[in-house]
Amino acid sequence: MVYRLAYAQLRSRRDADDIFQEVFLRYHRAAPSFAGEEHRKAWLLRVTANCAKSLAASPWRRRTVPLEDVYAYTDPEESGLDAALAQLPPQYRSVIHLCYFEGCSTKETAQILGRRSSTVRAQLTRARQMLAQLLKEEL
Amino acid sequence: MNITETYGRLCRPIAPSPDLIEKNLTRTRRHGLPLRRLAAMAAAAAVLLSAPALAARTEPGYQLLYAISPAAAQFFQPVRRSCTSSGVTMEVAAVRIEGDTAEAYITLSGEAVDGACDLFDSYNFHLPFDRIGSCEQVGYNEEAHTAAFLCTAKTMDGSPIPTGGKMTFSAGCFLTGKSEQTDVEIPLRLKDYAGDAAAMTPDSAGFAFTDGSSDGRSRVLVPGDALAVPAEGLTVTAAGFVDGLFHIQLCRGDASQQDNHGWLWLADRDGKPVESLYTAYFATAPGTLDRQDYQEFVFEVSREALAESTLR
Repeated sequence: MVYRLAYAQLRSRRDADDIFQEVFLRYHRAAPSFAGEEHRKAWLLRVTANCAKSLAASPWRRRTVPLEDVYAYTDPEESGLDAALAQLPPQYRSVIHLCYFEGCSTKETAQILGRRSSTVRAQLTRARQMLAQLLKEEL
Repeated sequence: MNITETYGRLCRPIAPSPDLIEKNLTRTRRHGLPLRRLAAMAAAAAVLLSAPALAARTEPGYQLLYAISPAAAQFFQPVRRSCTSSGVTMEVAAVRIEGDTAEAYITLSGEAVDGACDLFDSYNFHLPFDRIGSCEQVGYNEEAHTAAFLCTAKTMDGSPIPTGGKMTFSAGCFLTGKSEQTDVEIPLRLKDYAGDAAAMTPDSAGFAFTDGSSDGRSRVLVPGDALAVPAEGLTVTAAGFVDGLFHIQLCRGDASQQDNHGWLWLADRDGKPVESLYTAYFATAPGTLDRQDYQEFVFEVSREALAESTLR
């Protein structure tokens, strides 16, 4: 969950490693209490999204070109989608990931990412359009 | 294409490595986390591991880099490419290019790796321009037998190194098992070598003058049998006067295999040290299995004063 969202946003296994450690370090330090597992999940996803956003925005990362450090897929359909995802803006990828993989609603996604629901809906629509265009077929 | 289904297939293999999870849990245990939260964290980690992990490895070298310098780990681009040979793993942990400087953290892990090992000048940044480089050991983890090195290359003309391109780093070998001895007594009666000795001009030699001069002297002693063995791998092979200066020759064995080296000086009758005027370096049979490297110390001392001196 944590690792996958970090990877979806940053598309780097090394960066995902760093985020994974950072999130659990914060979990350890903050020692939050949760109302239930859904609450814990939302907390972890929210912190992951914030950490990944901070890392992506860091001056050092913006001035460097990451080395090729991604998962490889042999299935043409999977590799095609993976390549298309790589071309999406990171904020679109996090929306796609939370909605399509974590099964979050647009409202939940908005809460996790700290965006408005309308923004998330617009980003989801735009992401789907871009993917459709990139994949050259109807979704 | 069903994007939900395909995206689900894409995501399932993406997972942290077991090493990474173990490291997180170990760190938590070390900090004495209450059992309840530890259990919750283990459960969370188990959830994250519900899919089989792919080969997203966390190398021990990168972990050492975090221990040595968290700031470096933050500002360097992680690479974590490694290879293993003869039980020793070399990992390029992280690299950074800033202006005219390229830096790489390299780690060596394995039983043979000790705290005094070095890359023996065998490292190289394969870059298409003139550069100067250096390498220093920056950390050693005794438990893991892992040493970390910071290798640096700088362009000669100060021009920036292009970023975004491929940069290859290689290291041919490393030196381990080093030891150092000081104040070793050398049982050599110098008055026995106060005469002129056979000399030769080597095919190629390097000279290091203590006063920074270079007066063009090129003759060295003809290597002979062992006169004394100050330390394992170092042998005094000749001594005597050449062109009015006292030479004493130290054989270092094959320096391309073992970087044995020493420093000799004289102590006059009052015990005061007399430094060499210059040092000559040359090799016989270079490029062959019989290669022998020599270091020759040359002193400006009279024959009478030499008879009252000792070698250190």
